[in-house]
Amino acid sequence: MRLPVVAAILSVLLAASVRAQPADNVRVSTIWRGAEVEGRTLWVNEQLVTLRVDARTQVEVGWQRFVAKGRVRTNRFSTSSRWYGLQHVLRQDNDRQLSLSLRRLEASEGTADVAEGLFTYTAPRIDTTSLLSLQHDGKRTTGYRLSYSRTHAGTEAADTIGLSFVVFPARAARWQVQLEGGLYADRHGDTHYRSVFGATISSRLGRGLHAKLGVTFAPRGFPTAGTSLEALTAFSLYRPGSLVENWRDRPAGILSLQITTSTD
Amino acid sequence: MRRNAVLNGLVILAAAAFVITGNGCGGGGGAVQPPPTDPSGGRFIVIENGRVQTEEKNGKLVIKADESQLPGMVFSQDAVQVELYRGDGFANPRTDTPPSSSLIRTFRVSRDGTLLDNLELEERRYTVVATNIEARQGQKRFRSNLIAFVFDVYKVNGVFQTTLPEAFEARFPAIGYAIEDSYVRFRSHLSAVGGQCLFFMERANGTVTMTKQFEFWPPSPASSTHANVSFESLPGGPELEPVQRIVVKAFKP
Repeated sequence: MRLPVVAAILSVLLAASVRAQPADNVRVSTIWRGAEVEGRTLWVNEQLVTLRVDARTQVEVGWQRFVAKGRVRTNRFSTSSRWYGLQHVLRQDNDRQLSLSLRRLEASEGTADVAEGLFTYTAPRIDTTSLLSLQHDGKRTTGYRLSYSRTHAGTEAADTIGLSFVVFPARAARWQVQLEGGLYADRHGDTHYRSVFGATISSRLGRGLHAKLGVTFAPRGFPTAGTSLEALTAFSLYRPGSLVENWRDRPAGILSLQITTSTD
Repeated sequence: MRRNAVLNGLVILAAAAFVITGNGCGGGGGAVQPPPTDPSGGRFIVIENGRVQTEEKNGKLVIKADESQLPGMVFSQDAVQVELYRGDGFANPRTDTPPSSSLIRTFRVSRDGTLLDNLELEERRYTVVATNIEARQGQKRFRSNLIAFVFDVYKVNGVFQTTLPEAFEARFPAIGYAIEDSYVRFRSHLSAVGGQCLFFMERANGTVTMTKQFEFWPPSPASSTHANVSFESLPGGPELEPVQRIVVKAFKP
């Protein structure tokens, strides 16, 4: 059975079982991301399942599919990936929290279908370790995220280190805003520095149903790894052409919408 | 001083002619190609071979030894055994090898691809498969574990023709150099115009599949037209590692 079918069935089963779980122990999310920059478009669809193991630990598994189109609409690059994540709260005080995240993303072979022919690229793999420190200050929460990603792609490899500043301004009854700005050092042969800014507004739509709308902007392109586009940008190590490389080397932004069902 | 410079120049030219792509020590007596000019400054290995001299004998097409060269096949040793299979042995180009049941025979070629044995072929489709392709140009190398050429033998107005190239030129990046600006071009008999061609390469970082049609060449009518096809790489690409497999197909229309 094909992976997307398995993923869909699992998502449905888990969504159906969410109500039977203790509060917020299972979350099932569907995420759409889209962008159109300089005539190039990108569509991403994701499914994400998060299971809370105990008060400090949660695991997640996700699937996503990318389609990037060029200015010539028949030119397209497509790939899919799955990832596994583990988050563990290392330290929890009254107003401070330090958590560790481990994540492995395994992409599938990437396919560029262009006028010249069909080009496939060996599946990359990205391992990311990150530390998130949050501090609650009255009604506001601020924090830092330090991440390190190692990308293996065929004969190529790259390292990405990112440092982000995260702010959750005062929370309203039904919605919350998150702002994030980060600087990434991308090393693949040479080292390049890329900044990424994001804003997200999340809202509770109903009992156990949440929506999150976000925008992410990378003035000098997205780094190889460490962002929600890493399953695509990892292929840039192969220098496969503008269909992929422009998302890393040119100003780019993306809108995202996430719908989450959880036990509430 | 000036005389020394001229002598040095001649020595360099002679050395270049010797080392180019194995042509310098052909054991089969095939004509040695002059070293092609590489405007890239030496990032590439250029392979120029492929030649077909035929005659008809006992209702079969005979591809003549010593006068014909297999396209793209260069080796680091002489008298290499090459396999001939019936049909398209790489209908799926990712297949490791053609089925052994379709093996017709093995035959010998020299290090520059020159046939050392005659090939007598009926009207049908064939696959030639060689392993351990290696071309050297100074310190630069190109390696492929396998190269296969799929071609047709057919009749036009009662006369045998083949899509085996009359001339073949490949500009492959040397190992460790970027793939961009490389290409594979070949030409066949005019009757092949409109026939489908395929180029498939499998390497450490993925695969390339290109399909093209034989076209008239030169584009404007001329006295010596032939069928031509050219596969060009995309800009960019990572540095090349030894190639696992190259499959080239040339089909009649």
